[in-house]
Amino acid sequence: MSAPTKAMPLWVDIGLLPLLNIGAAFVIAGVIIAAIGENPLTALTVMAKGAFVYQSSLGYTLFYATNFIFAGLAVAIAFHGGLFNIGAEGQAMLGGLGIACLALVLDPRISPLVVVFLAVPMAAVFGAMWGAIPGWLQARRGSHIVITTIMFNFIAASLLVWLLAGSLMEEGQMSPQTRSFAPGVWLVPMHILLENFGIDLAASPLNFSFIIAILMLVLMWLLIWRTRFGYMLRAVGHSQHAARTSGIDLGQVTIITMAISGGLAGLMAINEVLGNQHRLLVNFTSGYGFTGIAVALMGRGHPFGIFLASLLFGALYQGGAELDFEFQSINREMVLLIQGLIILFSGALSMLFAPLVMKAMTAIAFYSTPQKRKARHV
Amino acid sequence: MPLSDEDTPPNVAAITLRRISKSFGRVRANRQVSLEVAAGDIHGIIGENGAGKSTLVSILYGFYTADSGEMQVYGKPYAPSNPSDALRAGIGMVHQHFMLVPNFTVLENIVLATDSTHKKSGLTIQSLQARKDEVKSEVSKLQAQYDLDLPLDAITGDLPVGLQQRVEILKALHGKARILILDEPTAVLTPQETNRLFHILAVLKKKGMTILLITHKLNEIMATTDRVSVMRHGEMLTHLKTKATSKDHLARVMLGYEEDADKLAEVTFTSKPKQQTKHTPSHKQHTPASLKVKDLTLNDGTDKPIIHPLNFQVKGGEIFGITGVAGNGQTELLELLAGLTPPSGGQIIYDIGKTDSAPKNAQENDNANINPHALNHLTISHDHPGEVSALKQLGVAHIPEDRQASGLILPFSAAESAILGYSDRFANAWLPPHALHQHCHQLMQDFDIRPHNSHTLSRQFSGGNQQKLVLARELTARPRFLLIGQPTRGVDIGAIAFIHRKLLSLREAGVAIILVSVELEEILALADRIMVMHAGHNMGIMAKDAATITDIGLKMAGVGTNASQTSPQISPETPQGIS
Repeated sequence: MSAPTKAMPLWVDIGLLPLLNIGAAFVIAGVIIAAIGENPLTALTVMAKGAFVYQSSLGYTLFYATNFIFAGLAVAIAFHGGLFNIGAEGQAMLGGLGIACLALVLDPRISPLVVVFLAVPMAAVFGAMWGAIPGWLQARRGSHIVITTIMFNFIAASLLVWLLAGSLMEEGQMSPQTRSFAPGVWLVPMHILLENFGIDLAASPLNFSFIIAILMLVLMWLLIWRTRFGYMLRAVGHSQHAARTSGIDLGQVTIITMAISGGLAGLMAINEVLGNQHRLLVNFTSGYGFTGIAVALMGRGHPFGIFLASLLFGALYQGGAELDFEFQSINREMVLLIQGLIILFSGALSMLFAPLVMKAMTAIAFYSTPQKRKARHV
Repeated sequence: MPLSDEDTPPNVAAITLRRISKSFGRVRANRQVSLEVAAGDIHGIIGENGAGKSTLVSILYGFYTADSGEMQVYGKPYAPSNPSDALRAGIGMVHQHFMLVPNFTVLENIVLATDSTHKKSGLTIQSLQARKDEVKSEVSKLQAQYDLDLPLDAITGDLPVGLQQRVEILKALHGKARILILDEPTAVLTPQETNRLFHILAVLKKKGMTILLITHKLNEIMATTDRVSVMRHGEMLTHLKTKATSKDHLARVMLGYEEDADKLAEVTFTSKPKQQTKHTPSHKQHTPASLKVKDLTLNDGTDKPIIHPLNFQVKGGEIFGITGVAGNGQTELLELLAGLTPPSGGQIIYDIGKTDSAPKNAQENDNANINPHALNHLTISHDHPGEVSALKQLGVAHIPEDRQASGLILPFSAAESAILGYSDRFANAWLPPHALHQHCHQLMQDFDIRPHNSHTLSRQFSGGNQQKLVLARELTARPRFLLIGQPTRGVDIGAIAFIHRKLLSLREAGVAIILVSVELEEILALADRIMVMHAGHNMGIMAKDAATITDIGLKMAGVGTNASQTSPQISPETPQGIS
């Protein structure tokens, strides 16, 4: 109510502004790199090459992007329902647990193909459950979802440590991880899959999960904007008052939304556990779930935006590793710093350049219209 | 009267607008609008739905930037880029929807407004208490000067609407405003409060303030203004001296119809609508639908009663009006009836009655929800709180008082808002956009909703068109019961007549209507029986013919036989006894 509602063209909102934000983050990162005595442009080149050009680097970039797509979607769908799900990390851990429980029990007994077909939904179901519980707590008990999802991250992490250091630990080993699943259960890597179509791709952990992630992007777009549930979800997200007045069961929508959100986060585990590590290990989520919040923010909650943001963050992860490798003075933390700057500019300061852009556009409009009018009068 | 000043203008005009234009996409809200407001005048702007009045004052107040045209304030060029600029230029505004922090005290709200516009204490370290003391003395002076009685230490949200509005005025005065814009200021006031507001405006004028009054009420224009400007379809049609015009003439100009005398009469309330003089509810049903309220009570969180035992019954084919000063339990009663809050005690019984030859509306409802267990009655009590969806199945439609917060979802397109609450009837799982828009187009055609574009966001419609959209949605569901709160609040004159006609035709169709309104004219024009509420009590139920404004006014103020406190005046068994 208080802020003047000024119409911003769509291309500015989802095109120009994010680009400006990323640009600003890179400029500041460049200054810092220059300050520690390296050439920012060289660093940028190394990073870009590391993310897209070197052999198998694209595969790695897309592999990381897969994690971000799942996590970003999980956060975004909760956003649409007016919920702030900070628990993607924990929900992904539970997804991994779901896969492990299933695979460890079944892979010696039945066809690995059946196990794969069961393991993917299992990851979603376990994640959904871990999301639905905070949803239920908010809907029926009034506990705030931000608090409960954060706490559920800790519970999930502790649960994983306890199980991996106990009943699920590989016999005769000292590290907190399960045994490897039977190779038939592994999700097929993309370079092998594409070989069948005659496409040559360097070996990388990129696996079939990427296709599932793309599928989820489309499905979530359909769910949010083309179904009755998506309609109710957005109604609740925009105005709880109006949603309640119209007879929408807020609690039910909250629980279902959190279940879907948790399920998407849980699917992150198929990429890491089923596609890459082929076993469950502690901390396999490596903070991707938290980065998902930034991805969702940057993607403005839209699946296509999330896809682009995931690519960017995937490239940063992969290119950053290269940066760490190539330069003595630049380490992993520098990459985190760049990421932090991007999150800062595209999340917290996402509207920083909006007034400037609006003024520029008004000025352009101002200087272009009088001429037109003059021309008409003459 | 300093009216003569205008003929020989020694003073510069307070506000000068020249050829202001503003478009929103393809909608041209203002087209080459020019306006001159003389200093010290009360100047009215009147116009129909979507005429562009609100857009114009929003430009003046810096909410929007005009696409073209220029403005002057006291002869100086003026181009505000935000409301703070407007305040610095001496323009204050009282919005239709108040801009107050409800849990702040009156004084705190004033401190907040002053500090944020003048950036006085931006980074200076001054204790809030010292600041408050300083402002308090200033404000007290202003209060004495302008005769604005207001408890400065009261929590703003607890004050009645009329007083909250006074806070807004005081805020503007303390911000050193010399020009005050009021946007539909009486939309939320009782007749008494309206009179008090007009008294305040007269005092302000005497002290040299310039006032720009945006309204749709011809009476107010005639009673208060010196000059009036009429807008239609985004254009400024004419500027008139109020003394030199008449209500009829103004109405004719603003609506653009000259010959339709009936329509005009209805619009200006000079005569009452025809339909209601011969009230014959059609007896299509064997037993009409009925709504019974038995010993209904509501307590707040601390068990303080908000609603004292209420008893009444409403039958299909009648309009039951509920009035009272805002905040005397009507809002809560409406929410109870709509199943949004569970009652603390008593019962609400909806009965759709027995249908002899099923009327059209019932048929469609039954077809829409094929439910073998469909009930024909529903009781809401403390132990069995109602569910909105169950009430909807029964044919209870609810048009909430606050259409912006509860009736629509402002960021939704019109097409999306048009199925709010009825998405289940509209589609099972998929919501195909083209069908959604087609549905909305139909509603827009049937209810003359402008702009006629289903992609327009709900927030971009004017108040009247928003209300029409809600009305269209609820009525298209063919209800048996209609709960409607403040149907014409902030709605302008053309839409008011339209909404009233719709309500009357629904009554003819046998719908049981509960109408909650603070507009006495509206209640008297529409309701068959009138219940007045004061402090959560039923002050009495009157038949329309027996009701007088004085009587209602006294009851609204809590004066008179307060029979309902001990025994209900009207027992639910004999609801028609009086009429």
